[in-house]
Amino acid sequence: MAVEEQAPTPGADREAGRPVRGARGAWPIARGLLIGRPESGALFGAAVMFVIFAFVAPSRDLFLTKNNLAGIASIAAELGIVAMAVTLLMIAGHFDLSVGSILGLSSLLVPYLIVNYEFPSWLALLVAVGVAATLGLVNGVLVVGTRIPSFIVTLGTLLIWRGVVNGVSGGGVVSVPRGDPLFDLFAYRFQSGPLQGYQVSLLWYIGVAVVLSFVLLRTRFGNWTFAAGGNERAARSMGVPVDRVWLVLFVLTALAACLTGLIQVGRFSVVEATRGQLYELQAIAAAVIGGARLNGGYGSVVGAALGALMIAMIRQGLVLSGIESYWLNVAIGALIIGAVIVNQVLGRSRPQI
Amino acid sequence: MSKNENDGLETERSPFGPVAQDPISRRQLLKRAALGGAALSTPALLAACGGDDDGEPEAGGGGGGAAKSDLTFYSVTHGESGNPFWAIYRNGIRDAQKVYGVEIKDLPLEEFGVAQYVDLFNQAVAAKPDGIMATILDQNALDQPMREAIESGIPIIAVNVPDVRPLDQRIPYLFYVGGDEEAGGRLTAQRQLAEGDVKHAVCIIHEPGHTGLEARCRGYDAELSGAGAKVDKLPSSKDATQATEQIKGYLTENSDVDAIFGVGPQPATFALQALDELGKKGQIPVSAYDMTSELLDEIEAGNLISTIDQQQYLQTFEPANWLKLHIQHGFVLAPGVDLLTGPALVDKSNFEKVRQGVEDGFR
Repeated sequence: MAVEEQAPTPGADREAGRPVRGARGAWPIARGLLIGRPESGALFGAAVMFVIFAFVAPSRDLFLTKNNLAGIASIAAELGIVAMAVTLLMIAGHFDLSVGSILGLSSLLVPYLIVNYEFPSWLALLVAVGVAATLGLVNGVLVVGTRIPSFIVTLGTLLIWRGVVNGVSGGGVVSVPRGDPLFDLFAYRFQSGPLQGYQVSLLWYIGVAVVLSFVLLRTRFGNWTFAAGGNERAARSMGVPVDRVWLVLFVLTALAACLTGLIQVGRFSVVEATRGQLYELQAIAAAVIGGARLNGGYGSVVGAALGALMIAMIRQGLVLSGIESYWLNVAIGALIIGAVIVNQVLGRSRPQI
Repeated sequence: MSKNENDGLETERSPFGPVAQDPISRRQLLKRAALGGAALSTPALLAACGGDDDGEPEAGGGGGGAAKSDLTFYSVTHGESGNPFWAIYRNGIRDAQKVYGVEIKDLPLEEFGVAQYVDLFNQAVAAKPDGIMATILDQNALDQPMREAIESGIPIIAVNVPDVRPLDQRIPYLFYVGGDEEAGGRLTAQRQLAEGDVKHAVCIIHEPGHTGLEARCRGYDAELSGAGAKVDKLPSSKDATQATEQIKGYLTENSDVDAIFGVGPQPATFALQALDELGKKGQIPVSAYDMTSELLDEIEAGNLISTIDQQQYLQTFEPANWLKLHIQHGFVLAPGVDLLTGPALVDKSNFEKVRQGVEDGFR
């Protein structure tokens, strides 16, 4: 297909299922915030959850401690970074089930190369990033080239790269000595200042949210993303380079997984063979809680960030409340279904096109 | 030590008479002895509080138990729910709460991973408990969070998996309550050598890289190599069919294998299945690790030489007691002394005595 680089007509994204921004009702601002956007449900839910844990739950005194908030931020950041990229891919109409394996493999390479081949740490990091980008590209090329559904392709690569992780690590743990200042880039805990006690991953989380939101909402590439997932044929006929959008997003998703992997290498200084396992499902969970639609064309980066935050709050909040961790997944499962129902209800009150 | 305490001890420990004579376990027995009455008297306490000695898992349910102390401990482990080994550990939690009047929150890791485990541990710390019992799943990754928790005043007892570094480098937890995996491997090898000469043995490991399981293999290998045997390590699948076929293939290729050690109930069961399908069941000595009633049945049938009990019930029961004693009275053990709950060898000489414990959920 001839790819013409031109922005789709202004209405294209709307026809592709994107909501009309800023619904004009009797109470425009509040309404716009609460029901006009895909992340409205997540914003509302996260606020309610925060109020419950911080002011209502019996363990409320513990919730607002720095220790706890920093723990929540750390979990939300690591999951959120992956979830936000996964959301972009879902908006464009695809899944990446291999993010957990890519996370595992790229982060495993760092200690592996440093310890076994005496790579300088900067080079090991570059190799990890390069490998992650390549793995993302492999996913993308397979999807674009073969037209096999991404669910199947990435299910395959999930197994393949996890197998490689197991093979390389011997099924065990690879550890790297602590203290390399380069890792502070990904896992430094602030010792002073307003962020004292928090991990630097919080800044990555916010940074990725800002950048990807900007890309999605304010750039031509963002329009293409909505268009590719909303109605592929229409997008193509209008000259959207759909294949290229997909390739870029698969690479981006892999890089996000790698970033979270590097954060975890810095934090724990070990990578075990199961690192990142089931991360793909948690990332999709966060995306869906954040308002993303499974069949594409609709979703929000900020929503996914909030979805990850809600998962982190629920994990931490339930432990503080003394509820045993057997029940965590029950709560998260209920949250996913509840969020989708709420999003649907809010979606119905959204002006239809 | 009073007569009374010995009575309580009798039912718990006597099945393992043979262990006491074993040279390699002398050190840990000394360690045990160093603990004095507190560790040994727990069965007596249990009996006292339960009010009946019929060994019901609900022991202590009706009894008053110790006065409520308002102490809350967290148990943070990699012991996923649904695993029979950890179910026994949890029975220890259940009974310790009644006996010592403390509250123990059980935080098992639901998705295995060091990262998830450290997060889980941090969550427990954020809840500001009075004490934590935790498995040292990875000593490097847990080093900083554990040191910080201990500095903030939360006493920690390592359970099930220790920090294996030297005392001056290891995480400054109070002490370790759990088995000595390498000693368990050695004990297994010694038991097999008592059966007859071993020339070519195999250690079947279903989770290669798992520190504890590798240590079992290492001890087994060291002991048998010392006796002049060749020892292979066979990594196996966790899937029953695949593992059985792998083991059959290995045994067909290596028809001279004359001793088999499965480092857990699963690989041992798979090995027995493979031998059965090859028509060789009962001809080659097989040993297992950990306790299930199926393994005891195989010992009774003469297909299994031995298994190892690490008495994981004690791995919560004892830390609960010691955290309480430490908090209330500042008691500690001598530096570097751990409370080893295993290995204890189970074979045809004593399996009947421990069977009731397995059925009642204590072993």
